[in-house]
Amino acid sequence: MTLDWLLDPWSAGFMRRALVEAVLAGALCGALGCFVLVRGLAFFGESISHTIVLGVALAFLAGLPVSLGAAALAAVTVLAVQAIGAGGRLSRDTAIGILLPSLFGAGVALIALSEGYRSRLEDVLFGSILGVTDADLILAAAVAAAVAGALLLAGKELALVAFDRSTARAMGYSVRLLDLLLLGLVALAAVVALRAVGNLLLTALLVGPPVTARMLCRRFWPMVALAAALGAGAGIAGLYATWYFDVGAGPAIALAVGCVAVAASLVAQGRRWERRRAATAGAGPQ
Amino acid sequence: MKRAAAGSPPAIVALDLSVAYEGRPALTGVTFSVPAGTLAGVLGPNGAGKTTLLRALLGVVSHTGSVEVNGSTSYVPQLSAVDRTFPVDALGVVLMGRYPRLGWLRAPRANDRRVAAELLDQMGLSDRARSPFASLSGGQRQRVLVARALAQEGEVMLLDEPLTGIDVASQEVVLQVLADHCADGHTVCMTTHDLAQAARVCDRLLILDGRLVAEGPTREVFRPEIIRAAYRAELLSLDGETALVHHGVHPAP
Repeated sequence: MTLDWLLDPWSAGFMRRALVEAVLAGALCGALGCFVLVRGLAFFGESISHTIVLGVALAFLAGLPVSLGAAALAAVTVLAVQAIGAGGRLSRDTAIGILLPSLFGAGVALIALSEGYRSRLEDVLFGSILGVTDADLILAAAVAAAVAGALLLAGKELALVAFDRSTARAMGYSVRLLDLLLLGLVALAAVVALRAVGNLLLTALLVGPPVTARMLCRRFWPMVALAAALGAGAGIAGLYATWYFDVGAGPAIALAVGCVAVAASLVAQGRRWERRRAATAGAGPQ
Repeated sequence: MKRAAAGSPPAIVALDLSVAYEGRPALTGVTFSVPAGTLAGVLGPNGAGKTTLLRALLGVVSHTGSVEVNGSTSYVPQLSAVDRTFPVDALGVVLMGRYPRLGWLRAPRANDRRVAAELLDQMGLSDRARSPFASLSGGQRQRVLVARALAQEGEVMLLDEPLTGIDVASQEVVLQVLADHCADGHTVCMTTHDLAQAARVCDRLLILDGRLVAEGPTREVFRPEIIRAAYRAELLSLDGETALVHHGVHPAP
Protein backbone atom coordinates (compact mmCIF):
# COMPACT_ATOMS: atom_id res chain seq x y z
CA MET A 1 0.00 0.00 0.00
CA THR A 2 2.70 2.42 1.09
CA LEU A 3 4.91 1.18 -1.72
CA ASP A 4 2.14 1.85 -4.21
CA TRP A 5 1.77 5.34 -2.79
CA LEU A 6 5.49 5.91 -3.20
CA LEU A 7 5.80 4.45 -6.68
CA ASP A 8 2.55 5.65 -8.23
CA PRO A 9 3.79 9.11 -9.29
CA TRP A 10 6.66 7.66 -11.29
CA SER A 11 4.43 5.50 -13.49
CA ALA A 12 4.00 8.48 -15.80
CA GLY A 13 6.88 9.25 -18.18
CA PHE A 14 6.66 13.03 -17.68
CA MET A 15 6.99 12.52 -13.91
CA ARG A 16 10.08 10.35 -14.33
CA ARG A 17 11.68 13.05 -16.44
CA ALA A 18 10.63 15.66 -13.89
CA LEU A 19 12.22 13.52 -11.17
CA VAL A 20 15.60 13.46 -12.92
CA GLU A 21 15.44 17.20 -13.58
CA ALA A 22 14.43 17.98 -9.98
CA VAL A 23 17.19 15.82 -8.49
CA LEU A 24 19.88 17.27 -10.77
CA ALA A 25 18.76 20.89 -10.35
CA GLY A 26 18.35 20.50 -6.59
CA ALA A 27 21.73 18.85 -6.09
CA LEU A 28 23.50 21.36 -8.35
CA CYS A 29 21.98 24.40 -6.68
CA GLY A 30 22.47 22.91 -3.22
CA ALA A 31 26.17 22.23 -3.75
CA LEU A 32 27.00 25.49 -5.53
CA GLY A 33 24.77 27.41 -3.16
CA CYS A 34 27.25 26.60 -0.38
CA PHE A 35 29.88 28.63 -2.22
CA VAL A 36 27.28 31.33 -2.87
CA LEU A 37 26.54 31.43 0.85
CA VAL A 38 30.14 31.57 2.14
CA ARG A 39 31.08 34.15 -0.48
CA GLY A 40 28.03 36.30 0.22
CA LEU A 41 26.87 36.01 -3.39
CA ALA A 42 23.15 35.41 -2.77
CA PHE A 43 22.28 38.68 -4.50
CA PHE A 44 24.29 37.56 -7.52
CA GLY A 45 22.29 34.30 -7.63
CA GLU A 46 19.08 36.29 -7.48
CA SER A 47 20.31 38.55 -10.25
CA ILE A 48 21.30 35.70 -12.59
CA SER A 49 17.84 34.18 -12.19
CA HIS A 50 16.29 37.44 -13.38
CA THR A 51 18.67 38.58 -16.10
CA ILE A 52 18.46 35.24 -17.92
CA VAL A 53 14.78 35.98 -18.51
CA LEU A 54 15.92 38.32 -21.27
CA GLY A 55 17.83 35.43 -22.86
CA VAL A 56 14.75 33.25 -22.63
CA ALA A 57 12.67 35.95 -24.32
CA LEU A 58 15.19 36.47 -27.11
CA ALA A 59 15.35 32.73 -27.71
CA PHE A 60 11.51 32.55 -27.90
CA LEU A 61 11.42 35.25 -30.51
CA ALA A 62 14.31 33.81 -32.52
CA GLY A 63 12.93 30.27 -32.35
CA LEU A 64 16.08 29.00 -30.62
CA PRO A 65 16.30 26.62 -27.63
CA VAL A 66 15.35 28.52 -24.49
CA SER A 67 18.34 27.18 -22.53
CA LEU A 68 20.73 28.55 -25.12
CA GLY A 69 19.33 32.06 -24.69
CA ALA A 70 19.41 31.71 -20.92
CA ALA A 71 23.02 30.51 -20.97
CA ALA A 72 24.05 33.41 -23.22
CA LEU A 73 22.51 36.01 -20.90
CA ALA A 74 24.00 34.24 -17.88
CA ALA A 75 27.43 34.59 -19.48
CA VAL A 76 26.79 38.28 -20.22
CA THR A 77 25.74 38.86 -16.60
CA VAL A 78 28.80 37.07 -15.19
CA LEU A 79 31.21 39.00 -17.39
CA ALA A 80 29.51 42.33 -16.72
CA VAL A 81 29.45 41.81 -12.96
CA GLN A 82 33.08 40.67 -12.95
CA ALA A 83 34.20 43.58 -15.12
CA ILE A 84 32.38 46.21 -13.07
CA GLY A 85 33.59 44.61 -9.82
CA ALA A 86 37.19 44.55 -11.08
CA GLY A 87 37.03 48.26 -11.88
CA GLY A 88 36.88 48.91 -8.16
CA ARG A 89 34.70 52.02 -8.43
CA LEU A 90 31.38 50.23 -7.96
CA SER A 91 30.80 47.29 -5.66
CA ARG A 92 29.66 44.02 -7.14
CA ASP A 93 26.24 44.42 -5.50
CA THR A 94 25.84 47.89 -6.99
CA ALA A 95 26.70 46.50 -10.41
CA ILE A 96 24.06 43.81 -9.93
CA GLY A 97 21.55 46.40 -8.74
CA ILE A 98 21.91 48.18 -12.08
CA LEU A 99 21.95 45.07 -14.27
CA LEU A 100 19.12 43.15 -12.65
CA PRO A 101 16.13 45.43 -13.18
CA SER A 102 17.16 46.66 -16.61
CA LEU A 103 17.78 43.23 -18.13
CA PHE A 104 14.79 41.63 -16.37
CA GLY A 105 12.54 44.49 -17.48
CA ALA A 106 13.70 44.10 -21.06
CA GLY A 107 13.04 40.36 -20.85
CA VAL A 108 9.48 40.72 -19.56
CA ALA A 109 8.75 43.44 -22.14
CA LEU A 110 9.96 41.16 -24.95
CA ILE A 111 7.92 38.22 -23.69
CA ALA A 112 4.87 40.50 -23.79
CA LEU A 113 5.47 40.90 -27.53
CA SER A 114 5.28 37.17 -28.17
CA GLU A 115 2.17 35.06 -28.59
CA GLY A 116 0.99 33.04 -25.59
CA TYR A 117 2.43 35.74 -23.35
CA ARG A 118 0.74 34.63 -20.17
CA SER A 119 1.64 30.94 -20.16
CA ARG A 120 5.20 31.67 -21.25
CA LEU A 121 5.66 34.23 -18.53
CA GLU A 122 4.33 31.74 -15.96
CA ASP A 123 6.76 29.11 -17.24
CA VAL A 124 9.64 31.53 -16.79
CA LEU A 125 8.51 32.75 -13.38
CA PHE A 126 7.55 29.43 -11.82
CA GLY A 127 9.24 26.82 -13.99
CA SER A 128 7.62 24.02 -15.98
CA ILE A 129 9.26 20.91 -14.64
CA LEU A 130 6.40 18.66 -15.73
CA GLY A 131 7.14 19.63 -19.32
CA VAL A 132 10.88 18.93 -19.43
CA THR A 133 12.13 17.32 -22.61
CA ASP A 134 14.96 14.86 -23.18
CA ALA A 135 17.06 17.78 -24.41
CA ASP A 136 16.51 19.55 -21.07
CA LEU A 137 17.67 16.42 -19.24
CA ILE A 138 20.76 16.11 -21.38
CA LEU A 139 21.60 19.75 -20.64
CA ALA A 140 21.04 19.21 -16.90
CA ALA A 141 23.24 16.09 -16.90
CA ALA A 142 25.97 17.87 -18.86
CA VAL A 143 25.94 20.83 -16.46
CA ALA A 144 25.98 18.46 -13.47
CA ALA A 145 29.00 16.67 -14.93
CA ALA A 146 30.76 19.99 -15.62
CA VAL A 147 30.11 21.26 -12.10
CA ALA A 148 31.22 17.98 -10.52
CA GLY A 149 34.38 18.07 -12.64
CA ALA A 150 35.11 21.70 -11.74
CA LEU A 151 34.62 21.05 -8.02
CA LEU A 152 36.92 18.01 -8.18
CA LEU A 153 39.52 20.08 -10.00
CA ALA A 154 39.37 23.32 -8.03
CA GLY A 155 36.91 22.84 -5.18
CA LYS A 156 39.48 23.20 -2.44
CA GLU A 157 40.94 26.30 -4.09
CA LEU A 158 37.46 27.86 -4.41
CA ALA A 159 36.90 27.18 -0.72
CA LEU A 160 40.30 28.70 0.13
CA VAL A 161 39.42 31.91 -1.73
CA ALA A 162 36.18 32.11 0.26
CA PHE A 163 37.99 31.61 3.57
CA ASP A 164 41.10 33.71 3.02
CA ARG A 165 41.39 35.61 -0.22
CA SER A 166 44.68 37.34 0.56
CA THR A 167 46.49 34.09 1.33
CA ALA A 168 45.07 32.42 -1.78
CA ARG A 169 46.56 35.29 -3.78
CA ALA A 170 49.85 35.03 -1.87
CA MET A 171 49.99 31.32 -2.69
CA GLY A 172 49.96 32.27 -6.36
CA TYR A 173 46.36 31.43 -7.26
CA SER A 174 44.60 33.69 -9.72
CA VAL A 175 41.65 34.68 -7.54
CA ARG A 176 40.01 36.60 -10.41
CA LEU A 177 39.99 33.44 -12.53
CA LEU A 178 38.62 31.41 -9.63
CA ASP A 179 35.91 34.07 -9.10
CA LEU A 180 35.01 33.83 -12.77
CA LEU A 181 34.86 30.03 -12.55
CA LEU A 182 32.53 30.20 -9.55
CA LEU A 183 30.22 32.79 -11.11
CA GLY A 184 30.16 30.73 -14.31
CA LEU A 185 29.20 27.55 -12.46
CA VAL A 186 26.45 29.35 -10.57
CA ALA A 187 25.17 30.75 -13.86
CA LEU A 188 25.06 27.26 -15.42
CA ALA A 189 23.19 25.88 -12.41
CA ALA A 190 20.72 28.78 -12.71
CA VAL A 191 20.03 27.92 -16.34
CA VAL A 192 19.16 24.34 -15.32
CA ALA A 193 17.13 25.36 -12.27
CA LEU A 194 15.14 27.91 -14.29
CA ARG A 195 13.38 24.97 -15.96
CA ALA A 196 12.69 23.28 -12.63
CA VAL A 197 11.45 26.06 -10.37
CA GLY A 198 11.42 29.21 -12.49
CA ASN A 199 13.28 32.41 -11.85
CA LEU A 200 11.21 33.67 -8.91
CA LEU A 201 11.85 30.55 -6.85
CA LEU A 202 15.40 29.81 -7.97
CA THR A 203 16.88 31.60 -4.98
CA ALA A 204 15.01 29.12 -2.76
CA LEU A 205 17.07 26.26 -4.20
CA LEU A 206 20.30 28.26 -4.27
CA VAL A 207 20.12 29.57 -0.70
CA GLY A 208 17.72 27.34 1.25
CA PRO A 209 19.58 23.98 1.26
CA PRO A 210 23.00 25.59 2.02
CA VAL A 211 21.59 27.64 4.90
CA THR A 212 19.94 24.51 6.26
CA ALA A 213 23.14 22.46 5.88
CA ARG A 214 25.18 25.22 7.54
CA MET A 215 23.02 24.92 10.65
CA LEU A 216 23.83 21.22 10.89
CA CYS A 217 27.47 20.99 9.71
CA ARG A 218 30.70 22.33 11.16
CA ARG A 219 32.85 21.63 8.12
CA PHE A 220 32.50 22.81 4.54
CA TRP A 221 32.54 19.62 2.45
CA PRO A 222 30.01 17.73 4.59
CA MET A 223 27.90 20.90 4.30
CA VAL A 224 28.18 20.78 0.49
CA ALA A 225 27.18 17.09 0.41
CA LEU A 226 24.23 17.65 2.75
CA ALA A 227 23.04 20.72 0.84
CA ALA A 228 23.15 18.77 -2.44
CA ALA A 229 21.15 15.95 -0.83
CA LEU A 230 18.64 18.41 0.66
CA GLY A 231 18.21 20.16 -2.70
CA ALA A 232 17.56 16.85 -4.44
CA GLY A 233 15.27 15.72 -1.59
CA ALA A 234 13.25 18.94 -1.78
CA GLY A 235 12.81 18.33 -5.52
CA ILE A 236 11.46 14.83 -4.89
CA ALA A 237 9.18 15.98 -2.06
CA GLY A 238 7.85 18.78 -4.24
CA LEU A 239 6.98 16.34 -7.01
CA TYR A 240 5.05 14.10 -4.60
CA ALA A 241 3.11 17.17 -3.48
CA THR A 242 2.38 18.01 -7.11
CA TRP A 243 1.14 14.50 -7.84
CA TYR A 244 -1.06 14.03 -4.79
CA PHE A 245 -2.23 17.55 -3.99
CA ASP A 246 -2.25 19.03 -7.47
CA VAL A 247 -0.17 22.08 -6.56
CA GLY A 248 2.37 23.71 -8.87
CA ALA A 249 5.68 21.81 -8.90
CA GLY A 250 7.97 24.84 -8.64
CA PRO A 251 6.18 26.37 -5.65
CA ALA A 252 5.90 22.92 -4.02
CA ILE A 253 9.67 22.41 -4.30
CA ALA A 254 10.34 25.87 -2.87
CA LEU A 255 7.92 25.14 -0.03
CA ALA A 256 9.69 21.83 0.71
CA VAL A 257 13.00 23.72 0.96
CA GLY A 258 11.42 26.12 3.43
CA CYS A 259 9.96 23.32 5.56
CA VAL A 260 13.32 21.53 5.80
CA ALA A 261 15.03 24.81 6.76
CA VAL A 262 12.52 25.38 9.57
CA ALA A 263 12.94 21.79 10.77
CA ALA A 264 16.74 22.13 10.74
CA SER A 265 16.63 25.39 12.68
CA LEU A 266 14.50 23.64 15.32
CA VAL A 267 17.03 20.77 15.48
CA ALA A 268 19.92 23.24 15.76
CA GLN A 269 18.09 25.18 18.48
CA GLY A 270 17.38 21.91 20.30
CA ARG A 271 21.07 21.05 20.21
CA ARG A 272 21.97 24.44 21.63
CA TRP A 273 19.50 23.98 24.52
CA GLU A 274 20.89 20.50 25.09
CA ARG A 275 24.45 21.83 25.25
CA ARG A 276 23.45 24.68 27.55
CA ARG A 277 21.63 22.29 29.86
CA ALA A 278 24.63 19.91 29.92
CA ALA A 279 26.95 22.84 30.66
CA THR A 280 24.70 24.12 33.45
CA ALA A 281 24.39 20.63 34.94
CA GLY A 282 28.17 20.14 34.75
CA ALA A 283 28.82 23.49 36.43
CA GLY A 284 26.27 22.90 39.20
CA PRO A 285 26.87 21.35 42.63
CA GLN A 286 27.81 17.67 42.55
CA MET B 1 71.52 30.42 18.86
CA LYS B 2 70.81 31.94 15.48
CA ARG B 3 72.53 30.34 12.56
CA ALA B 4 75.31 32.54 11.20
CA ALA B 5 74.14 34.09 7.97
CA ALA B 6 77.50 35.38 6.84
CA GLY B 7 78.49 34.27 3.37
CA SER B 8 75.05 32.98 2.35
CA PRO B 9 73.11 35.05 -0.20
CA PRO B 10 70.44 37.34 1.26
CA ALA B 11 66.90 35.91 1.41
CA ILE B 12 65.27 39.20 0.44
CA VAL B 13 66.71 42.04 -1.63
CA ALA B 14 64.78 45.16 -2.60
CA LEU B 15 66.29 47.90 -4.73
CA ASP B 16 64.60 51.29 -5.07
CA LEU B 17 61.21 49.64 -4.51
CA SER B 18 58.19 51.90 -5.02
CA VAL B 19 54.49 51.07 -4.92
CA ALA B 20 51.58 53.36 -5.71
CA TYR B 21 47.84 52.74 -5.52
CA GLU B 22 45.97 54.61 -8.27
CA GLY B 23 48.78 57.13 -8.49
CA ARG B 24 48.97 57.69 -4.74
CA PRO B 25 52.40 56.58 -3.47
CA ALA B 26 52.38 54.03 -0.64
CA LEU B 27 56.09 53.23 -0.61
CA THR B 28 58.86 55.20 -2.26
CA GLY B 29 62.44 54.21 -3.07
CA VAL B 30 62.94 51.47 -0.49
CA THR B 31 66.25 49.61 -0.60
CA PHE B 32 67.17 46.88 1.88
CA SER B 33 68.24 43.29 2.22
CA VAL B 34 67.51 40.57 4.75
CA PRO B 35 70.13 37.83 5.26
CA ALA B 36 68.89 34.24 5.25
CA GLY B 37 68.09 32.81 8.66
CA THR B 38 67.14 36.08 10.30
CA LEU B 39 63.99 37.35 11.95
CA ALA B 40 63.26 40.78 10.54
CA GLY B 41 60.70 43.15 11.98
CA VAL B 42 58.98 45.81 9.87
CA LEU B 43 57.95 48.82 11.97
CA GLY B 44 56.24 52.09 11.25
CA PRO B 45 53.12 54.09 12.08
CA ASN B 46 49.74 53.34 10.48
CA GLY B 47 49.85 53.91 6.73
CA ALA B 48 53.65 53.63 6.68
CA GLY B 49 53.50 50.97 3.96
CA LYS B 50 54.20 47.87 6.05
CA THR B 51 51.50 45.70 4.51
CA THR B 52 52.32 47.14 1.08
CA LEU B 53 55.92 46.02 1.53
CA LEU B 54 54.77 42.45 2.26
CA ARG B 55 52.50 42.55 -0.80
CA ALA B 56 55.39 43.64 -2.96
CA LEU B 57 57.55 40.82 -1.57
CA LEU B 58 54.74 38.37 -2.38
CA GLY B 59 54.50 39.76 -5.89
CA VAL B 60 50.77 40.52 -5.66
CA VAL B 61 51.04 44.27 -6.19
CA SER B 62 52.64 46.05 -9.13
CA HIS B 63 55.76 48.02 -8.30
CA THR B 64 58.76 49.76 -9.75
CA GLY B 65 62.30 48.96 -8.75
CA SER B 66 63.25 45.38 -8.05
CA VAL B 67 62.36 42.82 -5.42
CA GLU B 68 64.00 39.46 -5.13
CA VAL B 69 62.97 36.76 -2.69
CA ASN B 70 65.26 33.73 -2.76
CA GLY B 71 63.09 30.70 -2.15
CA SER B 72 59.39 30.04 -1.84
CA THR B 73 57.27 32.18 0.43
CA SER B 74 54.56 31.44 2.95
CA TYR B 75 52.18 34.06 4.28
CA VAL B 76 50.23 34.81 7.44
CA PRO B 77 47.58 37.50 6.80
CA GLN B 78 46.12 39.83 9.39
CA LEU B 79 43.54 37.97 11.47
CA SER B 80 40.84 40.33 10.25
CA ALA B 81 41.45 39.30 6.63
CA VAL B 82 40.20 35.78 7.30
CA ASP B 83 36.50 34.89 7.28
CA ARG B 84 36.11 33.52 10.77
CA THR B 85 32.55 32.36 10.14
CA PHE B 86 33.69 29.92 7.43
CA PRO B 87 32.82 26.33 8.36
CA VAL B 88 36.22 24.73 8.87
CA ASP B 89 38.09 23.24 11.82
CA ALA B 90 41.63 24.07 12.95
CA LEU B 91 43.11 21.02 11.20
CA GLY B 92 41.32 21.97 7.98
CA VAL B 93 42.88 25.44 8.06
CA VAL B 94 46.40 24.05 8.54
CA LEU B 95 45.82 21.62 5.67
CA MET B 96 45.18 24.61 3.36
CA GLY B 97 48.91 25.29 3.65
CA ARG B 98 49.49 22.06 1.73
CA TYR B 99 47.32 23.06 -1.26
CA PRO B 100 50.07 24.62 -3.41
CA ARG B 101 52.19 21.49 -3.20
CA LEU B 102 49.18 19.21 -3.79
CA GLY B 103 48.17 21.00 -6.96
CA TRP B 104 44.75 20.94 -8.59
CA LEU B 105 42.58 17.83 -8.34
CA ARG B 106 44.35 16.20 -5.40
CA ALA B 107 42.96 16.22 -1.88
CA PRO B 108 45.24 16.22 1.20
CA ARG B 109 46.55 12.74 2.04
CA ALA B 110 47.54 10.93 5.20
CA ASN B 111 51.01 12.47 5.20
CA ASP B 112 49.59 15.99 4.91
CA ARG B 113 47.26 15.29 7.83
CA ARG B 114 50.15 14.01 9.91
CA VAL B 115 52.21 17.14 9.18
CA ALA B 116 49.25 19.38 10.00
CA ALA B 117 48.53 17.56 13.26
CA GLU B 118 52.19 17.84 14.30
CA LEU B 119 52.21 21.57 13.59
CA LEU B 120 49.07 22.09 15.67
CA ASP B 121 50.79 20.17 18.44
CA GLN B 122 53.83 22.45 18.13
CA MET B 123 51.46 25.40 18.52
CA GLY B 124 49.97 23.87 21.67
CA LEU B 125 46.64 23.24 19.97
CA SER B 126 46.56 19.46 19.54
CA ASP B 127 43.36 19.24 21.58
CA ARG B 128 41.64 21.83 19.35
CA ALA B 129 42.34 20.17 15.98
CA ARG B 130 38.67 19.36 15.44
CA SER B 131 37.30 22.58 16.94
CA PRO B 132 35.58 24.96 14.54
CA PHE B 133 37.89 27.85 13.63
CA ALA B 134 35.11 30.24 14.67
CA SER B 135 35.10 28.82 18.20
CA LEU B 136 38.80 29.56 18.82
CA SER B 137 40.08 32.66 20.61
CA GLY B 138 41.96 35.31 18.61
CA GLY B 139 45.30 34.01 19.87
CA GLN B 140 44.40 30.44 18.99
CA ARG B 141 43.28 31.47 15.51
CA GLN B 142 46.56 33.31 14.99
CA ARG B 143 48.50 30.21 16.06
CA VAL B 144 46.48 28.13 13.57
CA LEU B 145 47.37 30.58 10.78
CA VAL B 146 51.07 30.40 11.67
CA ALA B 147 50.82 26.58 11.63
CA ARG B 148 49.25 26.82 8.17
CA ALA B 149 52.18 28.95 6.95
CA LEU B 150 54.64 26.42 8.40
CA ALA B 151 52.75 23.66 6.54
CA GLN B 152 53.68 25.41 3.30
CA GLU B 153 57.32 24.65 4.06
CA GLY B 154 58.51 27.82 2.35
CA GLU B 155 61.97 29.29 2.87
CA VAL B 156 60.75 32.80 3.59
CA MET B 157 57.75 33.44 5.87
CA LEU B 158 55.97 36.80 5.71
CA LEU B 159 53.59 37.71 8.51
CA ASP B 160 51.27 40.72 8.69
CA GLU B 161 50.74 41.87 12.28
CA PRO B 162 50.95 38.41 13.86
CA LEU B 163 51.04 39.85 17.40
CA THR B 164 48.19 42.34 17.14
CA GLY B 165 45.14 41.73 19.30
CA ILE B 166 46.17 38.38 20.70
CA ASP B 167 46.83 37.23 24.27
CA VAL B 168 50.33 37.28 25.76
CA ALA B 169 50.56 33.47 25.98
CA SER B 170 49.80 33.14 22.27
CA GLN B 171 52.31 35.90 21.47
CA GLU B 172 55.00 33.96 23.28
CA VAL B 173 54.14 30.70 21.47
CA VAL B 174 54.20 32.47 18.09
CA LEU B 175 57.49 34.26 18.80
CA GLN B 176 59.16 31.08 20.05
CA VAL B 177 58.04 29.14 16.97
CA LEU B 178 59.30 31.93 14.69
CA ALA B 179 62.67 32.00 16.49
CA ASP B 180 62.98 28.21 16.11
CA HIS B 181 62.02 28.51 12.45
CA CYS B 182 64.85 31.02 11.91
CA ALA B 183 67.27 28.83 13.83
CA ASP B 184 66.49 26.12 11.24
CA GLY B 185 67.79 28.46 8.56
CA HIS B 186 64.48 29.94 7.41
CA THR B 187 63.89 33.66 7.07
CA VAL B 188 61.00 35.45 8.76
CA CYS B 189 59.79 38.96 8.03
CA MET B 190 56.90 40.33 10.11
CA THR B 191 55.18 43.65 10.42
CA THR B 192 54.27 44.80 13.90
CA HIS B 193 53.10 47.77 15.93
CA ASP B 194 54.75 46.44 19.04
CA LEU B 195 58.09 48.26 19.31
CA ALA B 196 59.12 46.59 22.54
CA GLN B 197 58.45 43.08 21.27
CA ALA B 198 60.21 43.84 17.99
CA ALA B 199 63.28 45.20 19.79
CA ARG B 200 63.33 42.11 22.00
CA VAL B 201 62.97 39.35 19.41
CA CYS B 202 64.01 40.65 15.99
CA ASP B 203 67.54 40.31 14.62
CA ARG B 204 66.96 43.15 12.22
CA LEU B 205 64.53 46.02 11.93
CA LEU B 206 63.14 47.93 9.00
CA ILE B 207 61.51 51.20 9.91
CA LEU B 208 59.15 52.65 7.34
CA ASP B 209 57.21 55.87 6.95
CA GLY B 210 56.20 55.76 3.32
CA ARG B 211 59.91 55.53 2.68
CA LEU B 212 62.73 53.74 4.44
CA VAL B 213 63.65 55.55 7.66
CA ALA B 214 66.26 53.04 8.75
CA GLU B 215 67.22 49.41 8.43
CA GLY B 216 69.86 47.15 9.88
CA PRO B 217 70.63 45.07 12.96
CA THR B 218 68.24 45.84 15.82
CA ARG B 219 70.96 47.24 18.06
CA GLU B 220 71.93 49.83 15.46
CA VAL B 221 68.43 50.80 14.37
CA PHE B 222 66.47 50.86 17.59
CA ARG B 223 67.63 54.31 18.69
CA PRO B 224 65.64 57.24 20.07
CA GLU B 225 66.33 59.62 17.20
CA ILE B 226 65.39 57.05 14.55
CA ILE B 227 62.19 55.99 16.31
CA ARG B 228 61.22 59.64 16.81
CA ALA B 229 61.76 60.33 13.11
CA ALA B 230 59.37 57.56 12.14
CA TYR B 231 56.70 58.01 14.84
CA ARG B 232 56.73 61.80 14.84
CA ALA B 233 53.70 62.41 17.03
CA GLU B 234 54.31 59.75 19.59
CA LEU B 235 56.08 60.18 22.87
CA LEU B 236 58.76 57.66 23.57
CA SER B 237 61.08 56.91 26.40
CA LEU B 238 63.83 54.52 25.66
CA ASP B 239 65.56 52.35 28.17
CA GLY B 240 68.26 50.16 26.80
CA GLU B 241 66.61 47.94 24.22
CA THR B 242 63.01 48.31 25.26
CA ALA B 243 60.67 51.19 24.63
CA LEU B 244 57.62 52.65 26.28
CA VAL B 245 55.18 54.14 23.81
CA HIS B 246 52.91 56.31 25.90
CA HIS B 247 50.37 57.40 23.33
CA GLY B 248 50.34 54.46 21.61
CA VAL B 249 49.87 51.09 22.04
CA HIS B 250 51.64 48.50 24.06
CA PRO B 251 53.62 49.17 27.23
CA ALA B 252 56.84 47.25 27.51
CA PRO B 253 56.82 44.26 29.83
